[in-house]
Order: sequence, then structure tokens, then C-alpha cells
Amino acid sequence: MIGGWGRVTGSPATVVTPDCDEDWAELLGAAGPRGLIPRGGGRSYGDAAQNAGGLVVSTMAEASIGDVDAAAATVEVGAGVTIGDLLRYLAPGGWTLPVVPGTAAVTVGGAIAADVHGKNHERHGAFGRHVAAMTVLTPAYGTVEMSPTVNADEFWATVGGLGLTGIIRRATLRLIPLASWWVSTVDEQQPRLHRVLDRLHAASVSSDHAVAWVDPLGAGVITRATTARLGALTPGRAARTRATPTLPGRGIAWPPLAAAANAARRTAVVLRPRHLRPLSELHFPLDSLPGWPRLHGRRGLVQHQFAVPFGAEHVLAYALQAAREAGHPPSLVVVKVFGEANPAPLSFPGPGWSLAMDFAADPALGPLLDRLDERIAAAGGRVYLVKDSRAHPDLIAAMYPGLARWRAVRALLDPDGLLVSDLARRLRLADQRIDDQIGASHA
Amino acid sequence: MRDGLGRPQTVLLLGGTSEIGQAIAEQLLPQSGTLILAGRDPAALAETAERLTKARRQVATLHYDALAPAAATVDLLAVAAARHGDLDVVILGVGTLTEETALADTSAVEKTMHTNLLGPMLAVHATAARLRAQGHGTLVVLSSVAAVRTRDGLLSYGVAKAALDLYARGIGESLRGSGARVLVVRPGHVRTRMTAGLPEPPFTTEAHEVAARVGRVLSGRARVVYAPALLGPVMTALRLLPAAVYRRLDAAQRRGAPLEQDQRPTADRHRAAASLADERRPR
Repeated sequence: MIGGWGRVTGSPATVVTPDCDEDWAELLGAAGPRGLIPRGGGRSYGDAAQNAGGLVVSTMAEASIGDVDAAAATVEVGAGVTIGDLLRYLAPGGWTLPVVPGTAAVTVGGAIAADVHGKNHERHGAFGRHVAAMTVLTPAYGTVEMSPTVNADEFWATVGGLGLTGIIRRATLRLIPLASWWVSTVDEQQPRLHRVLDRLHAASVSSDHAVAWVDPLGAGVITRATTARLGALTPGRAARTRATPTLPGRGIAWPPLAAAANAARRTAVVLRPRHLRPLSELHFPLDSLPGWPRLHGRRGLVQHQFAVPFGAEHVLAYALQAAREAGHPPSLVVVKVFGEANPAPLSFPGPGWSLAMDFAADPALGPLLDRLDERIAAAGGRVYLVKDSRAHPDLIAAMYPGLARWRAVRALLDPDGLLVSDLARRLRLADQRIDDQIGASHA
Repeated sequence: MRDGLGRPQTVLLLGGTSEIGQAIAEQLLPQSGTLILAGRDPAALAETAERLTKARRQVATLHYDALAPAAATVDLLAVAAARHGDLDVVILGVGTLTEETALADTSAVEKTMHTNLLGPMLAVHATAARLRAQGHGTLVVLSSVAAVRTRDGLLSYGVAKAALDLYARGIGESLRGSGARVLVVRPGHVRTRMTAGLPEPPFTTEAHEVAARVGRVLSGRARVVYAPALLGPVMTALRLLPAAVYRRLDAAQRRGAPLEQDQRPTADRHRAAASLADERRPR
């Protein structure tokens, strides 16, 4: 069974790991009627990198890292290189990636396909903005070189394209200089959601990284981080990971336990608001607890992350309130600020707020999150597709107005629908018929 | 594709006018999704489709006849999947209930076995093949407690259900590791058109209660489910009873039942009887 990181989805598939050009050449011909989908580090929460009854193509053997081109400030890497390995490779030379997701195990291919963001979107945008070029294996045209200037439509359809336009094999990434592997962070408490948002917005402009954690009542802690001016460039050892058991029931999302955890976090902030941390600890809080989904009980973890434009703060408040009143307070809520969107039709970030809630999977969440999705769509927002495991397909076109444009490009690159995932089936992403129906109803 | 909360998106009901089948479909797709009703009577299907359609729940109909050759069933499944995507749940609700005394001759036995056993068996086989290929999905087979201990008055029905039940469980075993699954549902006596006018034994239940029970176990690993749940241990006990004791129990229940039979309002009973008559019309 191939599943998602949240442990709520899973389906059987044949996994292949091509490790030479001959393998890659034969790959597309080997796909059966159920098609194939690329898979990187397996860190998407839901069903984005699984393909029931079909082929799952691991890119993990594409692990080469080229030399840094200091003049252009770029590096060419294989799609299977993980962000963590790349950061450690780059740091001693004084380079780093401008955008880094929340776990080091994400691969470069996955980061592009999901157009991941960091805690600095206001400043640096999403991952795709820093891709100078990439080599993509497409069903219709074989290996295609894409960049924002060459095959631009194909490039932007592949950024955030969830592996459905082609299989990314290599990418040239733009780098920024790194002054120190260490960052100084300041934590600040605020008792009300609107105060948290005000302070977070200010922090996202003034600091390198900014993120807020809020409790189900809307009180929160804003963390600002600035790269230290001094300090070594050499990464220390990777953070130790803790083994985690599968907790019974809803685990850490059980309200009394969640309340205790929130209180502990608040106390820690009061006791020690300032820290000097290694970069990896700031970027990858999840990696010190790889068993986080297990802590949500046997059924696993559902994360709901959505973005709404500035001015739609009421949707954030509604999300917290609705979850609380339904008796399903999230175990973790993270708020970020997003800046300008990039041209990728399926890219998630756009100017406004992002709110991510972790829940213990429970069928009772269905109606709650469905109602929330309606509000998000009505407010001009969207859910993060790569983290989704339960959204309703009818809402996706409203959330992603570029969907039809993306489908048109996909239809050129993969006319027979060879690339397909469980997520694509569930959300009917590649489904032209929905467009036809919309076209018919408009006619 | 079933989502991360275990909710199916596309449900196919073979035997589109089956009340228990419809109740299960409604339970699995409470608000949204696609329900495909496959059955023989276009008018009844259309009427059911209209009743079950909601703002976000579309209902489609397809022609299906359990008496048709096997290839037709295979084609039906292919058409349903081509039009509506992967089939997350297929409910097999084909079957008629005829008292043994009403089976006038050998041909009548042949017909009832075709409807209750051969047709459904072929449907189980065809569905299992499709679900195995798509790597996910659940086939819900409506069996009966009659499959566990057959009663003399419903001999052919019970034998058909017993064989279907056994076959479906066997196919379910063969699906292990494929991502697909078979769930055999053994309801007790359920108040529906099919059972209207029959004496009501203990543990009589309603279609929506059977559906609720199926809904609860669908995302789990159960292979067989009784509705109501208490029938599990009861049927186990009945199966172990010596034949002589069972016969006396059966006879006593038949004698006693009419006295407490049918608490429903008269109008309901009339409607039920009318639709039953409709079902028994020669085709």
C-alpha cells in the first residue's frame, strides 16, 4: 500500500525507481490502463502521490547535485534530491534556497510539483519562482526543457501541477547567499486572533521569516526569525528524532490533551521568548516529530490548509470557531502571510492569509470542513491541493480559476491521461467533462 | 475515489429499486457524490432517481438485468466507470423473496435461482474483477440471515442466499491485498415491499437501520455484518441447534407471528401489498 504522510489514505500500486536513462525511456510505455504518477519523499498529507492499481514512479534515484554556479547563483539538481540534503550541501559554500518547506524530506521534484512555500512568502514567493529551468519527461513530447521563458505555459502548468503534466527529472534552482546557519528567533504572545494577525503581518514585512501558531480560541504566538549576522555556516548534526507511538482514539487531538499541549507551549514562550537556533530547526519543526500523524490516533491525521485574501479574516475566525463548536478543536493551527502569487494556475499561495489546521481523522469532520470550504471559495480563497484528502471536486474550479487553462496545457502534454493520481481522480482535476458540463450550462 | 475521511464519491446500486440498497446508498452519499441506479424497470428507476437527487448528489440510471448474460454485466460496469469514474462502492441488491409454497413448478424454482443466485454470482465476479483492477473499492453484497440457517418456508431463497454468501466471502478472500474488498451484509427480517405481508419474526428491522450499520463498518475491516448486530450471536446459536429443536422453534414462530404481525398503519400495508403484487407480475 502506498499512502500519504497523514496516514488517512492508501492504495496498492506498483512502485518503480528508474535509475538509468534506459529505464526512463521505457517508463511511459510500461504504464498500464491505470496510468502512473511520480512520487518523491512521500510527504504530501493526502493522496497526491499514490495511484490505485497503477504505477508509482519514485524519483529518489535522481539524486545528483551539480556544482554551484556562483556567477549565476544557481545549482542543477536531480528531482529526487531532498531539500534537507540540498541545504546541507549548499550551506558551507555560503548558499541556501530562498524558499524552504516545513519538512526536509520533501524532494526538489515534489517541491516544484506542489509549488511549496516557506515562512517568507511575502518576501520570496513560492518555490516555483526560483526555478530557473527544468527537464520534464512528458507523455506527448518526451523530454522537454522548460523555463519561465522557454515553454513558459508548460513550465507554469508543471509548477504546482501535482505531477500531472510530466515527471520532473532535473531542475536548476536559483540560490541566495547565506550568512549563517544560525537564526535568532523572537516569540511574542497575543491574546486575540486579530492582534495575532496584525503582529504577524508586521513581522512578515520586517523579518526574514514569520509564522504564528494559534490555539483553538484564537490566542497565539508569533515567531519572527532573522538570520544571525555571525555564526558558523556548517550545519550541525541533524536534529534527533523521537520515536512516537500510535495513540488511542483521537490521540493528541483529544480536547483536554490538546488544551494541555497549548498551555505548555504558551508557558514555554513566557519562560524563554528568544532563541538562537540552527536554520534546520526553524524550517523543519515537523522533522523532530516524524510520528506526528501517529499521535493523532489509529485513523491518522487530516490537515486542512487554506488561503484567503486580505479582508477575509472572518473566514479564519469562522474556521476556528466552527471546529471548536463541532467538538473537533484542531491539535495544531499555523497562520502565515502570503504575498504575490506566481503565474502557475494551480499554485496555492496568493496575497492574503494562510491557515493550516491539523485534525485527527474522523468521519464527523466531513460536514464541518465541507461548510468551511464553501466559505473559503465564496471569499475568493482556496484549499492547498497537495495537502488535501477530502475536498469536494465541485469547488475546485471556483477556488482555482486557472484550472481550465491548466487542463488545456495538460491536455497537450498528456493527451491520453497517462499521468493520474488518486488525488486527480478524487478531485477530477484532469476531467474535461466537468468543463464540458460548465460550458453546456453556460450555453 | 474514497476520500481521507472514508467517504465514497461514486456508488453503484445493482438492483436499483432495492429499498435496502437505496437506504445504504443514501447513507454513504448523504449530501454529495454520484449514485448510479442499475435495474430493469426504467420507470421505477427514473422515479427513484428523481426522489434521491439532491443539489450536490447526482443520480444516474443504467439498464441492468440479473437474468441477462454475464457479458452484459461486465459491460454495465465498464460503462458506469467510464461515465462516472472509479466505482468506490458497488451494492448488490438483486433478489426476490418468494415463499416456497408459491413456487408453482420446477421452472419457477429455476427462475428464482437465476434471479437470486446465478445473476448475483456473476455480478460479484464481474465487480470483483473491476475493483481489483482499479485497486480500491468495496462490494456490498446483500445476503440474509437465511443464508446462515435456512427455513423450510423459504427454502429456495435461503439456499440461493447461502450459496451467494459463501461465494462472495470466497471472492472477498481472493481480493486480499488488492485494495478492494467484499462486505457481506446479513440483515434479519427488514420491513420492505419485498417482505410486506409476511409474518414478522423477532429482530425485525428497517432498511435505514441496516444502512446505518453498513455505514458504520464500511471503512473498517469487517467482512460480514449482521443487522441488527445482535443477530450475530443469535444466528450462531441457531446454527448450532439440533434440527429437531430448530424445526419446532420455526413452527412455533410461524404460528405465533401473525398475532403480533404488522404494526404499521393500514395505508402503508396496502401500499406495500400493492407494490408486492406489482413485483410478482409475470415479466
